[in-house]
Amino acid sequence: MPSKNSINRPKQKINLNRKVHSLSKKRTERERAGLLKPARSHETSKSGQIKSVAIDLYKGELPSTGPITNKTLSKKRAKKIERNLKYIEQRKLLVDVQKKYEDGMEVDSTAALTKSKAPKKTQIAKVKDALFQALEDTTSTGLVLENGSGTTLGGPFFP
Amino acid sequence: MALAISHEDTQVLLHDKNVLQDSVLDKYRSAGQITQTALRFVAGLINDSYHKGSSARVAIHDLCLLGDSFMDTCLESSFKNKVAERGIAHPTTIDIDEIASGWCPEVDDADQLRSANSGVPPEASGSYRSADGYLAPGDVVKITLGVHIDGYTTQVSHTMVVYPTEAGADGNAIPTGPLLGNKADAYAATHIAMETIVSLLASALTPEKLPRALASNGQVTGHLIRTVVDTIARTYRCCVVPGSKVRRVRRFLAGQNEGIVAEREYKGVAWFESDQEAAMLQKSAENTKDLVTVAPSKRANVSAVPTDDFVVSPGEVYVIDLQMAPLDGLAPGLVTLENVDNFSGKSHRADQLVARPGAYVRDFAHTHILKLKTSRQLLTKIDRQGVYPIKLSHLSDAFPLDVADVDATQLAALSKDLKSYRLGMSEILNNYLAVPNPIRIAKCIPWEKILKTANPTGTMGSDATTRALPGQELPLPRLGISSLKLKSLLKHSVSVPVVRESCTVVLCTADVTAGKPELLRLSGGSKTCQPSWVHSKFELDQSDAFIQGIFQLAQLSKDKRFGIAIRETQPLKKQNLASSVSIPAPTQDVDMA
Amino acid sequence: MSSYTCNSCTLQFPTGMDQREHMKSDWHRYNLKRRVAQLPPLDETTFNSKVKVLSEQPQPESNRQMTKKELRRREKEALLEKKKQLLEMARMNILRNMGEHSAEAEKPEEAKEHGEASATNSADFMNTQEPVKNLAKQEHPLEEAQESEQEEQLTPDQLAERLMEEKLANKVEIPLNTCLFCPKREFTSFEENLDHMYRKHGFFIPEQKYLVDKEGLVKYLSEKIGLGNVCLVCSYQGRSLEAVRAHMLSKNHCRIPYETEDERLEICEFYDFSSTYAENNQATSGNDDEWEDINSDEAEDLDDEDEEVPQEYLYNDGVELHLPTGVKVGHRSLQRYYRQNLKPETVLSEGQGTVMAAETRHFATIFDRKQVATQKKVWQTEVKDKKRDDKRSAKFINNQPHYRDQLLQ
Repeated sequence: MPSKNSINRPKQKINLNRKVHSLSKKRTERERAGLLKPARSHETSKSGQIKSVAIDLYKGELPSTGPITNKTLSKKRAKKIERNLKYIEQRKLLVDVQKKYEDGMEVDSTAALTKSKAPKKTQIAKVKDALFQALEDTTSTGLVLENGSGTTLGGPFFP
Repeated sequence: MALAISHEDTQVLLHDKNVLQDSVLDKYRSAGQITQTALRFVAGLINDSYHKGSSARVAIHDLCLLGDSFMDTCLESSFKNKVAERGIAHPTTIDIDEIASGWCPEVDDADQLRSANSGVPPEASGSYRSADGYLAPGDVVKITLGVHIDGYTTQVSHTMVVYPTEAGADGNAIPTGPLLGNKADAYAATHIAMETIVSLLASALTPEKLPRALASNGQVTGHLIRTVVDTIARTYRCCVVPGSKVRRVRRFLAGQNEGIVAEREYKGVAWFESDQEAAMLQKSAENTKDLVTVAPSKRANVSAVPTDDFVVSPGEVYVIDLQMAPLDGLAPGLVTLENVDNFSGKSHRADQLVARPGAYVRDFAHTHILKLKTSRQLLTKIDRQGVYPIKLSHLSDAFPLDVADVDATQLAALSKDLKSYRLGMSEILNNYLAVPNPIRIAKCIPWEKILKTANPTGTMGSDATTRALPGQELPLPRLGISSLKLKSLLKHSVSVPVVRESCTVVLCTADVTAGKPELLRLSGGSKTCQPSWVHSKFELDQSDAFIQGIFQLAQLSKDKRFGIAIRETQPLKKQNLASSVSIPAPTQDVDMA
Repeated sequence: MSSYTCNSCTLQFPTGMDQREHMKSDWHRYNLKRRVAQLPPLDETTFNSKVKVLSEQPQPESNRQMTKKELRRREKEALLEKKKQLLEMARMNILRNMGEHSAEAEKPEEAKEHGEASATNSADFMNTQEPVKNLAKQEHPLEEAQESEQEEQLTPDQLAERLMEEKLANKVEIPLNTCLFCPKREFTSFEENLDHMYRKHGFFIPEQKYLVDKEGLVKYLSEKIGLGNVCLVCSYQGRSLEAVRAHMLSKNHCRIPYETEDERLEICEFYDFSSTYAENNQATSGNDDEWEDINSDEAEDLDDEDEEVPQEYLYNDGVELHLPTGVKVGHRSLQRYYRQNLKPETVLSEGQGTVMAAETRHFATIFDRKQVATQKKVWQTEVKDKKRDDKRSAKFINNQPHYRDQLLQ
């Protein structure tokens, strides 16, 4: 290996190599730490969409950065987002209906809708679902008629 | 760890000294006698002053102080100069309704409590009464106390109901009627569960007599204990409050250090929030097997983590501590415990109880050179007291008070001592040389709120100050909800009353009793812990096979000849329990009335 | 012609053996010396005659040579030896009879008579002559030597007495109000004199607290100086009072030695230590200041407790001095160890021990060995890969950045 001050030192090659290496190392570190955004081609990528902290918060999609956060969502804002989402849904329906009407073709749109794959559920989400289910079960079978005489302990005295 | 104990010493201290012999049983029995007597004394005080009206109303802090003094006086005469350490293993605590544990204010706390909690509404009955300092009809009062002689510990909790009274046929006051409602449900459930577990443990000595419905390959296991208690609780629409446990006790290790010391070879069933979570998950009929299992925590030593996979074996001593909260009429929720805040100067919600804990436990793992001379002296005093919870008043020279005739000068001396101890105690607490025994309120958080909450921090936010048992750092491990998150959810909660019963039992083998093996119930039982007059609308369903087993067990325990042998320790007779107690009333009590 | 010769003697030998024999002879040696002195060699007959003459002469010649130097020296040595012996005896005698003499010293005549009474007749005769001869002693060493020969015939007892006589005759009495060291310095009182001696000469009387006979002590010392002409501190003995005084002043020997057992015993009769026998620990008062208390708070009441102390003796175990009070006194040299403030060892009660033994919490970070091992392996492979890559990249480095046509060089 020629020394640092050698005439024959290939300047660009080594420097570039080192740079590429360090960049890739940094990149993998960031990736390991989960700081990298998903690639634009990835299905969860939000590239091209409008960036909004409030909507992310509402949807619960904001990645956690630690126990403390300064990103908040006011009640008012939440209500607005809720309302807007409802309108968007309605608009979509309207567009669909219009399109169908215009095309005059019988396309089973529900099949297409169900085909879209839901993101894989996490363990906690599964637990939550199960618990919700259990809650509903217990609330529905709430009423039990008491036919027994009950339990009596003790008597009219001070033990 | 500042100090280490050699292997040989460990062997002697943890095993050899716990082998049940006559001498050991003797110490257990005397400790049990004193516990029984003290419980009867405190119950008598409450009956005299609130039911029979034969004396003036005794305030809660006075009840605590008198109970402690009584125990100390009884201890003075027993095993004198024979054992190095003996004393109060659990200071007398008087918990009302939703207060689950730890209410033992000092005598000088009364006015501060009243002024700090002026905003607590009367609907929050337990908090309101506790802050007020006096009991009232309708209260479910839990008396807990304990005594140890040479480290052999007995503990008792008993729940009393304060009734409105009327004159009976013979002119004496009698309760106007039984306690009804959900408090009565919890009362009945706890009482029945307690008696059942006692007979269950007794049948561990003679496993062949165990009813077939209960017998799981002829052994009494942790699973069986848990199932029995949970079944009874479910029948009465109750929930076993976290902190309940059926655990083996050893010399100097009676659960007083739980949450501070991660105890080696923990053996027992303990109820936590995670159990309620698991039970809830099992209700939803999906294939929940993989959802229910939780990876064991790696933080703690395996032998310190409580599991149900154990078999009750003869020669052991168990403490049965059952606390139940009624859930009837409430939205399905998680019953948890809230630590009451200290006087900290911050702005509290008006309806929140504010109180400082009365009992402290020394944490020997910490060493620190204290700055103040007062605190150093106090620490020496605390160290001399031993490993059990202490109240500051125990350290005073004026303690124990003469229970038959309380002297105002003694009380004044006690309050004066307390002032300087408080100063020293703050430095000790700040350096974690001692840990307060928290006052805990039972709360029920609706599941809906828990499921809907956002949990961005995940499992990371753990509360270092909560005294969780090892392996239970995360209260809801399946939902990934940390103790800090649970604390923030408490704002949605409602407080629920708690009924508590506890007792200590010794499983005596045949060679100790010189007869047939029997269970010696050191505390509680029919003599001192008779149930109050309650009526619950629920009852055990006899058609269920498992519950039939429970009934058979009850039958067996009544059968003297062929059934399960259970003996109870009787309270001491010589003590004159009926002695009227007169407390010199401080002036502020008069204004309150 | 024989090759064996001696050039210095101008001789020829038939054999080597003969030559060798000759070389060893005195004749040859003598001729050698003559040759060195550039004198002609002597023949054997002349040499032999010379030897004969010389062998008759040397006896008186050598004797005369010795008398000049050696005789004088020998005489002197003998004299000194004798003197020393006598002085030694006298010293012994003085020490032995010090008690009597201190009392009798004031009446030398009486002592003289006493000595005369005990002496034999022949000694008596000699004694009477002694003072006369004493004057001429120095001038006539030879005479003295003869005289000493005579003295040797006397018994040691008689010798000592004679010496005593001599001394007593020489005695200069120093009165109590006169300074022991300066000549002709008189004071009005004894106390003033002591003060002067203390101030001027550093004459200090040790342990004055227990001194009962101060005047006796000073009188004894003055006798030692005046009568014995002996220095107080060293064993110097002057010829006269002036000599010993000059010695003491120049050597600064104006003090009472009080270090060794013998020195203390010498003057012990003037002291009374009986008051200290009750208080055992005062025996160490000599080096009391070298000890210091380990427990400073106990030190203060040490003196008060001395009176009621039981009659136990104190002992020194090599490290500490154990007083009967129970106080342990440590030596100053170990001060740094006593000064350190160590935390007392905690003794756990059984309860605390049990709780500690049951404790499984550990506050040290615990490493998973497997994890650490795999991590190490990863690091090692990283380093290895990097090295390999460097090597490979070095292969392709173009060492010739600019093309140079070899033919054009």
